[in-house]
Amino acid sequence: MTICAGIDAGSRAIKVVLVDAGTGDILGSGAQDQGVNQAMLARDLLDRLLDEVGGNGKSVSRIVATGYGRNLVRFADSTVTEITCHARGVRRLVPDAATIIEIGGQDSKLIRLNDKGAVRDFAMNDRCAAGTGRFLEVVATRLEVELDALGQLAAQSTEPAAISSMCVVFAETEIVGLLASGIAREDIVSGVQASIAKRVVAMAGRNVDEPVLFTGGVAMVPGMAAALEAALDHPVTIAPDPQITGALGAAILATQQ
Amino acid sequence: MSKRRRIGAHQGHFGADAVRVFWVNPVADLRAMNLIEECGGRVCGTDYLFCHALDPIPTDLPPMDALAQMALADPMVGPASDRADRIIRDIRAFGAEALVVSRIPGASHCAYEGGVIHDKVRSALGIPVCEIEVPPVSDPVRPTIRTRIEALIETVRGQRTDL
Repeated sequence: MTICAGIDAGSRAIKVVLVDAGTGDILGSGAQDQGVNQAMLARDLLDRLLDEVGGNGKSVSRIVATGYGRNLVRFADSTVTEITCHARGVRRLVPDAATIIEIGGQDSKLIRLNDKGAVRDFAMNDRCAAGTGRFLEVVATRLEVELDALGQLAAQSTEPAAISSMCVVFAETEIVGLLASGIAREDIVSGVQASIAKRVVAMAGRNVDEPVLFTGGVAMVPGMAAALEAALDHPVTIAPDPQITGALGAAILATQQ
Repeated sequence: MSKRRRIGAHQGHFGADAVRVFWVNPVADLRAMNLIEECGGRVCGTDYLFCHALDPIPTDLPPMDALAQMALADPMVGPASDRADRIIRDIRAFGAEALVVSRIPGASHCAYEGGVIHDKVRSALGIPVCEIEVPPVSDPVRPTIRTRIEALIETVRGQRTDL
C-alpha cells in the first residue's frame, strides 16, 4: 500500500489525513492540539495514524503540508496554501460546492469555486480576530464557559445581545459591560456568534453562489452555521468532517504531484 | 546565462509560466513586491496614483481644456470607479491574470477604493483579486501577505489547468 499524507498545521490544531496514493480513498485521519514544536507534533500524529492503518514511514510516497505553520513541517515534500487545500478537500466531499466559508482559530476565508472546482477567487481575514474562532475563545474565558459548551449555551438564547464593537479587544470590554447590566450569558454568546458571522459575511460582498459549505474548526461549534445563514441570507451546509478538509485537500494534492 | 545571451534568446528572468500580476498602489516596503517573484509570479503592470502624469497631453483640444482634462485624470480627484476603469483597461492591455491591490495602513486616500476596484475588475474580467495591507515595515505580517500572494498564484495556476 502506498500512502499520501496531508498535514494541516493550523493555529489551534494539527490535522493529518492519509489517502491511498492510487485510489485517493481516505485511509485515516486525526487531529491534535497545536503546540510549540509543530514539526514534532505533526510527525507524532502522522506516525500514530500510520500505525493505525498498518503502514509506516516507508509506505508514504509524498507529504503535502498546509496551514499557517506549513513551512515549519520541514519533513513535508511540498507546501500548498490552505485556500487551495480547503477548496480541494471540500470539493472532494461535496462535488457541487460553489462557495466555501472557512473559519479557523486565527483567520477566516471565503473561497469561491468555478464550475470545475478550481478556486475562482478568495477573500481572507487574517488581521483581525473579530471574525475568527479566537473571538469565541476570548468569550468563553470571559464567561467562564468551556469552549465546547458555547454552542449549547447559545442555543438557549431568546434575545441575542447586540455586539457593536468591530474589534475583539473592545468587544471584550463591551461584554464586561453587558454582564454588568445583567444580560444573560446565552444572549451574549449568541450575539458574539452573530457578530463573527457578520464579520465573515462582509468579505463575501453581494456575490455568493450556492451551495455554501462551512468548514474549519469553528464549523463544529453549534449555532455558528445558523448565525452564518442569518447573516448571509443563504443556506449554509456544514462540510463533512469540517476540521480536516484542509488536510484532506493537501493529501489529494499529494497524490497528484 | 549571461544577460546578453538571455536577451538574444528572447528570454526573461522569469519562467515562461510565471503568473502575470497587475499591482495597484505602491508599497513602502518593497520586499512585499518581491514576494510575487518568490511565489512564481511576475509584475506585468502597475497603477500608482501618479500614473496619470505619464499620459500624453491631448493636442487636439484647447490648451486649458487639455490641462483641465489631465488634472481630472488624477485618481485623487475622480471617483474610485473611474480609476477602476483605467485599471481594467491596463490589465487587458498587459494580459494580467491576477490583481493585487495593496494599501498602506492609514495612508490610502480612499478606504473603500480597494473594494470598488476589486468588484469592478472581477465583474469585468473575472480574474482573481487579492487585497493586502502592507505596513511600512512588513516583517511581522510578511507570512500572512505571503500566504495571500501564494494563494493568488495557486489560484491562477489552478484555473489554467481547471484544477
